Amino acid sequence: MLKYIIKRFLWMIPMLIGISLISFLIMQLAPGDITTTEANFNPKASEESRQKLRTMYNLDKPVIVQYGLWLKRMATLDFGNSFASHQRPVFWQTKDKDGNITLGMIQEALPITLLINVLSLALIIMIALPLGVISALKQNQLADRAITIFVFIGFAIPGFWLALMLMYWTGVQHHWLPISGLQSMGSEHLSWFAQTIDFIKHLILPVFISAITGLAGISLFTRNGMLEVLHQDYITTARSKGLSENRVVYGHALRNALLPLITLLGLSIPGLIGGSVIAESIFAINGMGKLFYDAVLMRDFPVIMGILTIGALLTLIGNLLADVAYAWADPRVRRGVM
Amino acid sequence: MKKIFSNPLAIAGFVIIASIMLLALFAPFIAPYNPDAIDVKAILLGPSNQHLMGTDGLGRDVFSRMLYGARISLLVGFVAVGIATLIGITLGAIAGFYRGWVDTVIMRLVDVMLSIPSFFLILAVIAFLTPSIWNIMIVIGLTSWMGVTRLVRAEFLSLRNREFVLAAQTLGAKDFRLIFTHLLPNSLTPIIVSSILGIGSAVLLESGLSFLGLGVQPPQASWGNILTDGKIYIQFAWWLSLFPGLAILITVLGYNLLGDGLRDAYNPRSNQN
Repeated sequence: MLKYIIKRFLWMIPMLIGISLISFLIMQLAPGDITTTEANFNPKASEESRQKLRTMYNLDKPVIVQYGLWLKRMATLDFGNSFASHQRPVFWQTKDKDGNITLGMIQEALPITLLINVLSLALIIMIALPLGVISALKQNQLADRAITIFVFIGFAIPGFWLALMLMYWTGVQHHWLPISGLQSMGSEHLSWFAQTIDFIKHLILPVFISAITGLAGISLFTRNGMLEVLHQDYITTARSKGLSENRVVYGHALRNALLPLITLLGLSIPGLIGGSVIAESIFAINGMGKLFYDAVLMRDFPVIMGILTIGALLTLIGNLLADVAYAWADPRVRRGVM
Repeated sequence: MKKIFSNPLAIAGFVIIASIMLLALFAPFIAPYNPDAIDVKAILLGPSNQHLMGTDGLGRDVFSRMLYGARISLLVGFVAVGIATLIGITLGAIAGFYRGWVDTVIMRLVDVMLSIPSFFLILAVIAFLTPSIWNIMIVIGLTSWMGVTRLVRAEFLSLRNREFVLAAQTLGAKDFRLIFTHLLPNSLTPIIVSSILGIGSAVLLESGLSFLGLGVQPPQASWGNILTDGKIYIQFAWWLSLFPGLAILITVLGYNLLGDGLRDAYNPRSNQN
């Protein structure tokens, strides 16, 4: 097992190099160079200060050296300071000479996005698994047809539109749920318990919206996986041994149908992280998605590159965890049989 | 073809897409108003006989804008997927046909591209270019070729050693000829299916980008940017949000039904399910 994990871990290195190449390529797309962008925020920027910036971002060096320095930045997760937000550090906090700490932008935004994504993954599993299993067991019956329609709509519905509709329905019309931010105004004066309730209420819509796009895929996948497993010989064997139908379905079929689902959940991580742009900007939540969106609007170059890299890193870690979980659940993988 | 028309879902999808294409094609004849005509005396009017889907914040007729928006959706869907499919077929064919180190390099590139959240990737590229309909078509195309590549490669790998291919090779067919007259035509069905499903995702992506203000730029109408207005006026004008959203939903549903129906018609295994 350990050997498998190490092997799998080392596999991330070439992937990271690939990611650094792609992101470096994107940086080369910038019209002129990034100091033109910086100058846009500060019209008084003199030619001298721009030259200073060029040196700081190594734009005066040959491309290959620039790439090497970018690789070094990625390896040390040092993405410099934001152009737009008063020179705040992009990734992690810094201390100035008076000992004042400035929090990093990603450092502040990441926990919020991770929380929303973990909750929506949990919601996806809680809803999609039972739907998929019911669909497979009641194949071609009414329940299966209804779930199939739900899946088709789930695939086609624009998440941001659903978010708008829910905002209108639950927030504007009925005032059931708050529709922006993560806290009500003045909630800091409430008791600890009331604050938690307030926080949870704010999370309901964003978590639901992030989950909805994943729901359809996972439930369809569970249905097809179950159907395939239910036709296997060992299920017939289990049945002919006289095991109860419940035992056959939940003890044998479901366990095997769930295996590939681990990988699929790992693969759905980039979609969830990317999807946070829309959910967070609609609900005005200061997570990675909104940070990224604001950075794109303001062409805040260091923030864009920082989040792009961290997003890819999170995906790699997610896939690694999924693969390790798979190997843990399926001995054939870790022993290299498959 | 007969098989497709015995599948009710595929027919539904086909009818949806065909109607939207007709609406888009004949938009200038159907639209009751000029989609960009501002009318300050008719701001934010609800749906009525004069304005089937109401008017927006500048008094423009939403129904007319929706019709012209359909053109954008179709255009973006087809061009973006066209680009992605072309790249996918080329890389997939090279990887599956020549195997070896070329295959390794191409498949690792696919892995790398898949590990960057695609929405982030698209937005990052757009941040450095100017948002316009052409740029987003190209960017969506350049960031969604990975699925087709894997598909074509897998098809080629499985066809490569089939007898008819080996026979053609023995008879002296060149690589180029093998690929274009034997391998590619036999992989066409799954490519078409995945392209149709891809158009649906491209339409969704475009509307999301336009909604965020990073796609099709006003005053040019797109379903996504009508929804941007819908968000601003959500308290007063539900029609601005409802109709474009439904249009996107129905269009994407249409492509998905058609794609799934085609796959079922040509894949005997999925018929059993």
